[in-house]
Amino acid sequence: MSAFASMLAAVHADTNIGTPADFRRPPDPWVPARVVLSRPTDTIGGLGGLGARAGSLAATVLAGDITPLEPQRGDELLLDGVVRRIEDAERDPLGLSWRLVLAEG
Amino acid sequence: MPTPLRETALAAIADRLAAELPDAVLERARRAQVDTDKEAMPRLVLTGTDWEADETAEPGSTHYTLGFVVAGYVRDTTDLGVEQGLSDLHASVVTVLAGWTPAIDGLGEAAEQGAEFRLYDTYESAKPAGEFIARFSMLAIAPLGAPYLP
Repeated sequence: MSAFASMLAAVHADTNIGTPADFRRPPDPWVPARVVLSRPTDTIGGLGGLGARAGSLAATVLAGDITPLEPQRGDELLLDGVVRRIEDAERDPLGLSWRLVLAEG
Repeated sequence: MPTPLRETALAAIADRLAAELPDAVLERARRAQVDTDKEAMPRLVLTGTDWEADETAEPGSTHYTLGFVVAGYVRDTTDLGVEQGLSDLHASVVTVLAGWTPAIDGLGEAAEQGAEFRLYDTYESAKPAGEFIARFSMLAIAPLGAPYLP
Protein backbone atom coordinates (compact mmCIF):
# COMPACT_ATOMS: atom_id res chain seq x y z
CA MET A 1 0.00 0.00 0.00
CA SER A 2 1.39 3.37 -1.01
CA ALA A 3 1.74 6.27 1.39
CA PHE A 4 -1.20 7.98 -0.32
CA ALA A 5 -3.36 4.88 -0.02
CA SER A 6 -2.44 4.56 3.65
CA MET A 7 -3.26 8.18 4.28
CA LEU A 8 -6.65 7.92 2.56
CA ALA A 9 -7.49 4.75 4.44
CA ALA A 10 -6.57 6.39 7.74
CA VAL A 11 -8.65 9.48 7.00
CA HIS A 12 -11.70 7.46 6.04
CA ALA A 13 -11.31 5.17 9.06
CA ASP A 14 -11.06 8.12 11.45
CA THR A 15 -14.45 8.40 13.14
CA ASN A 16 -14.08 12.16 13.41
CA ILE A 17 -13.78 12.51 9.65
CA GLY A 18 -15.15 9.42 7.95
CA THR A 19 -18.68 8.16 8.24
CA PRO A 20 -20.30 4.84 7.36
CA ALA A 21 -22.35 4.64 4.20
CA ASP A 22 -23.58 2.11 1.68
CA PHE A 23 -23.11 2.21 -2.04
CA ARG A 24 -25.02 0.46 -4.78
CA ARG A 25 -25.88 0.42 -8.42
CA PRO A 26 -29.61 -0.19 -8.46
CA PRO A 27 -30.98 -2.82 -8.27
CA ASP A 28 -27.83 -4.51 -6.89
CA PRO A 29 -27.50 -4.92 -3.12
CA TRP A 30 -25.84 -2.31 -0.93
CA VAL A 31 -22.09 -2.51 -0.39
CA PRO A 32 -20.76 -1.05 2.89
CA ALA A 33 -18.19 1.72 2.53
CA ARG A 34 -16.80 4.64 4.46
CA VAL A 35 -17.04 8.14 3.07
CA VAL A 36 -15.76 11.60 3.87
CA LEU A 37 -18.47 14.19 3.35
CA SER A 38 -18.17 17.82 2.40
CA ARG A 39 -20.97 20.40 2.24
CA PRO A 40 -19.59 23.59 0.74
CA THR A 41 -21.94 26.54 0.37
CA ASP A 42 -21.02 28.79 -2.50
CA THR A 43 -22.26 31.63 -4.60
CA ILE A 44 -23.92 30.56 -7.80
CA GLY A 45 -23.26 32.65 -10.86
CA GLY A 46 -26.58 34.16 -11.68
CA LEU A 47 -28.15 35.45 -14.85
CA GLY A 48 -27.06 39.02 -14.38
CA GLY A 49 -29.34 39.53 -11.44
CA LEU A 50 -28.77 38.94 -7.76
CA GLY A 51 -27.37 35.48 -8.10
CA ALA A 52 -27.99 32.80 -5.54
CA ARG A 53 -26.35 30.79 -2.82
CA ALA A 54 -26.75 27.07 -2.24
CA GLY A 55 -25.01 24.12 -0.70
CA SER A 56 -23.65 21.16 -2.59
CA LEU A 57 -22.95 17.72 -1.15
CA ALA A 58 -19.99 15.55 -2.06
CA ALA A 59 -18.62 12.32 -0.64
CA THR A 60 -15.23 10.75 -1.14
CA VAL A 61 -15.24 6.97 -1.13
CA LEU A 62 -12.27 4.62 -1.28
CA ALA A 63 -12.11 2.83 -4.60
CA GLY A 64 -11.16 -0.36 -2.82
CA ASP A 65 -14.41 -0.33 -0.82
CA ILE A 66 -16.57 -0.62 -3.90
CA THR A 67 -14.34 -2.55 -6.31
CA PRO A 68 -15.03 -3.63 -9.04
CA LEU A 69 -17.68 -0.94 -9.46
CA GLU A 70 -16.74 2.42 -10.87
CA PRO A 71 -19.32 4.95 -9.65
CA GLN A 72 -21.44 6.71 -12.23
CA ARG A 73 -24.51 8.89 -12.46
CA GLY A 74 -27.54 6.98 -11.24
CA ASP A 75 -25.75 5.03 -8.55
CA GLU A 76 -26.86 5.58 -5.00
CA LEU A 77 -25.35 6.25 -1.61
CA LEU A 78 -27.17 5.47 1.62
CA LEU A 79 -26.28 8.03 4.29
CA ASP A 80 -27.93 8.05 7.69
CA GLY A 81 -30.84 6.12 6.30
CA VAL A 82 -31.38 8.51 3.38
CA VAL A 83 -30.71 7.48 -0.20
CA ARG A 84 -28.76 10.09 -2.17
CA ARG A 85 -28.53 10.00 -5.93
CA ILE A 86 -25.04 10.18 -7.38
CA GLU A 87 -25.01 12.84 -10.08
CA ASP A 88 -21.34 12.74 -11.00
CA ALA A 89 -18.21 10.82 -10.03
CA GLU A 90 -14.56 11.76 -10.44
CA ARG A 91 -11.67 9.40 -9.78
CA ASP A 92 -8.52 10.84 -8.28
CA PRO A 93 -5.40 10.70 -10.47
CA LEU A 94 -3.99 7.73 -8.54
CA GLY A 95 -7.20 5.75 -8.76
CA LEU A 96 -7.44 5.41 -4.99
CA SER A 97 -10.73 7.22 -4.37
CA TRP A 98 -13.82 8.62 -6.01
CA ARG A 99 -15.40 11.98 -5.38
CA LEU A 100 -19.15 11.58 -5.63
CA VAL A 101 -21.39 14.58 -6.26
CA LEU A 102 -24.72 13.91 -4.60
CA ALA A 103 -28.23 15.21 -5.12
CA GLU A 104 -30.71 15.86 -2.34
CA GLY A 105 -34.39 15.64 -3.03
CA MET B 1 -43.12 65.73 -2.06
CA PRO B 2 -44.26 64.27 -5.38
CA THR B 3 -43.56 60.63 -6.11
CA PRO B 4 -41.15 59.93 -8.96
CA LEU B 5 -42.81 58.22 -11.89
CA ARG B 6 -40.26 55.41 -11.78
CA GLU B 7 -41.12 54.56 -8.19
CA THR B 8 -44.82 54.83 -8.92
CA ALA B 9 -44.45 52.32 -11.74
CA LEU B 10 -42.35 49.87 -9.74
CA ALA B 11 -44.71 50.02 -6.79
CA ALA B 12 -47.67 49.37 -9.06
CA ILE B 13 -45.89 46.42 -10.65
CA ALA B 14 -45.07 44.98 -7.23
CA ASP B 15 -48.68 45.40 -6.10
CA ARG B 16 -49.86 43.64 -9.22
CA LEU B 17 -47.48 40.69 -8.75
CA ALA B 18 -48.34 40.35 -5.06
CA ALA B 19 -52.06 40.40 -5.73
CA GLU B 20 -52.06 38.01 -8.67
CA LEU B 21 -49.38 35.56 -7.50
CA PRO B 22 -50.01 35.17 -3.76
CA ASP B 23 -48.22 31.80 -3.57
CA ALA B 24 -44.87 33.38 -4.44
CA VAL B 25 -42.82 35.47 -2.05
CA LEU B 26 -42.25 38.89 -3.60
CA GLU B 27 -39.39 41.22 -2.79
CA ARG B 28 -38.29 44.54 -4.18
CA ALA B 29 -34.87 46.14 -4.34
CA ARG B 30 -33.11 43.15 -2.82
CA ARG B 31 -29.32 43.26 -2.94
CA ALA B 32 -28.42 40.01 -1.17
CA GLN B 33 -28.16 36.72 -3.00
CA VAL B 34 -31.07 34.35 -2.64
CA ASP B 35 -30.34 31.30 -0.52
CA THR B 36 -32.19 28.63 -2.45
CA ASP B 37 -31.56 26.04 0.28
CA LYS B 38 -33.13 27.94 3.15
CA GLU B 39 -35.48 30.63 1.89
CA ALA B 40 -39.13 30.12 1.08
CA MET B 41 -39.80 29.30 -2.56
CA PRO B 42 -41.07 30.14 -5.08
CA ARG B 43 -39.66 33.63 -4.82
CA LEU B 44 -39.82 36.68 -7.08
CA VAL B 45 -37.52 39.68 -6.93
CA LEU B 46 -38.55 42.82 -8.79
CA THR B 47 -35.86 45.31 -9.73
CA GLY B 48 -35.97 48.41 -11.90
CA THR B 49 -33.28 48.71 -14.54
CA ASP B 50 -32.97 51.16 -17.42
CA TRP B 51 -34.74 54.50 -17.82
CA GLU B 52 -34.72 55.84 -21.35
CA ALA B 53 -36.08 59.25 -22.28
CA ASP B 54 -37.49 60.50 -25.57
CA GLU B 55 -38.25 64.23 -25.71
CA THR B 56 -39.17 64.18 -29.38
CA ALA B 57 -42.32 62.09 -29.21
CA GLU B 58 -44.68 64.79 -27.98
CA PRO B 59 -44.21 68.54 -27.49
CA GLY B 60 -43.95 69.45 -23.80
CA SER B 61 -43.73 65.85 -22.66
CA THR B 62 -41.09 63.20 -22.24
CA HIS B 63 -41.87 59.62 -23.12
CA TYR B 64 -39.91 57.31 -20.89
CA THR B 65 -39.28 53.61 -21.23
CA LEU B 66 -38.83 51.97 -17.86
CA GLY B 67 -36.97 48.67 -17.86
CA PHE B 68 -37.50 46.18 -15.07
CA VAL B 69 -36.65 42.58 -14.40
CA VAL B 70 -38.46 39.94 -12.41
CA ALA B 71 -36.17 37.20 -11.16
CA GLY B 72 -37.85 33.96 -10.18
CA TYR B 73 -36.41 31.25 -7.94
CA VAL B 74 -37.74 27.71 -7.61
CA ARG B 75 -36.77 24.66 -5.57
CA ASP B 76 -38.23 21.18 -5.96
CA THR B 77 -37.51 17.57 -5.11
CA THR B 78 -36.55 16.64 -8.67
CA ASP B 79 -34.62 18.22 -11.51
CA LEU B 80 -37.63 17.99 -13.80
CA GLY B 81 -39.78 19.53 -11.10
CA VAL B 82 -37.53 22.59 -11.08
CA GLU B 83 -37.65 22.92 -14.84
CA GLN B 84 -41.43 22.68 -14.79
CA GLY B 85 -41.67 25.00 -11.81
CA LEU B 86 -39.59 27.63 -13.56
CA SER B 87 -41.75 27.36 -16.66
CA ASP B 88 -44.90 27.67 -14.58
CA LEU B 89 -43.70 30.63 -12.56
CA HIS B 90 -42.34 32.44 -15.59
CA ALA B 91 -45.55 31.92 -17.53
CA SER B 92 -47.52 33.22 -14.56
CA VAL B 93 -45.38 36.36 -14.35
CA VAL B 94 -45.75 37.04 -18.05
CA THR B 95 -49.48 36.47 -17.89
CA VAL B 96 -49.81 38.92 -15.02
CA LEU B 97 -47.62 41.67 -16.50
CA ALA B 98 -47.45 41.51 -20.28
CA GLY B 99 -50.11 43.73 -21.80
CA TRP B 100 -51.22 45.07 -18.43
CA THR B 101 -51.62 48.81 -17.97
CA PRO B 102 -51.67 50.26 -14.46
CA ALA B 103 -54.68 52.42 -13.67
CA ILE B 104 -52.39 55.37 -13.03
CA ASP B 105 -52.16 58.48 -15.21
CA GLY B 106 -48.86 58.62 -16.98
CA LEU B 107 -48.14 54.92 -17.01
CA GLY B 108 -48.58 52.77 -20.08
CA GLU B 109 -48.60 49.12 -20.95
CA ALA B 110 -46.02 46.64 -19.72
CA ALA B 111 -44.32 44.70 -22.48
CA GLU B 112 -42.41 41.44 -22.31
CA GLN B 113 -38.84 41.64 -23.59
CA GLY B 114 -37.54 38.11 -23.01
CA ALA B 115 -36.09 35.85 -20.35
CA GLU B 116 -33.20 33.59 -19.42
CA PHE B 117 -33.48 30.37 -17.47
CA ARG B 118 -30.95 28.39 -15.48
CA LEU B 119 -30.99 25.11 -13.60
CA TYR B 120 -28.21 25.07 -11.05
CA ASP B 121 -25.88 22.15 -11.63
CA THR B 122 -25.18 19.58 -8.96
CA TYR B 123 -21.73 20.99 -8.20
CA GLU B 124 -23.49 24.20 -7.16
CA SER B 125 -26.62 22.93 -5.45
CA ALA B 126 -27.35 19.48 -4.09
CA LYS B 127 -31.03 20.36 -3.99
CA PRO B 128 -32.74 20.79 -7.34
CA ALA B 129 -33.15 24.54 -7.83
CA GLY B 130 -32.98 27.18 -10.51
CA GLU B 131 -33.86 30.68 -11.55
CA PHE B 132 -35.08 32.82 -14.39
CA ILE B 133 -34.82 36.48 -15.18
CA ALA B 134 -37.69 37.94 -17.14
CA ARG B 135 -37.18 41.36 -18.70
CA PHE B 136 -39.99 43.83 -19.26
CA SER B 137 -40.48 47.45 -20.21
CA MET B 138 -43.19 49.99 -19.48
CA LEU B 139 -44.05 53.30 -21.11
CA ALA B 140 -44.31 56.32 -18.83
CA ILE B 141 -45.21 59.86 -19.88
CA ALA B 142 -44.48 62.98 -17.87
CA PRO B 143 -44.23 66.72 -18.46
CA LEU B 144 -40.89 67.72 -19.89
CA GLY B 145 -38.27 67.77 -17.15
CA ALA B 146 -40.63 66.60 -14.40
CA PRO B 147 -40.60 62.79 -14.11
CA TYR B 148 -43.15 62.70 -11.32
CA LEU B 149 -46.63 61.38 -10.92
CA PRO B 150 -48.89 64.03 -12.49
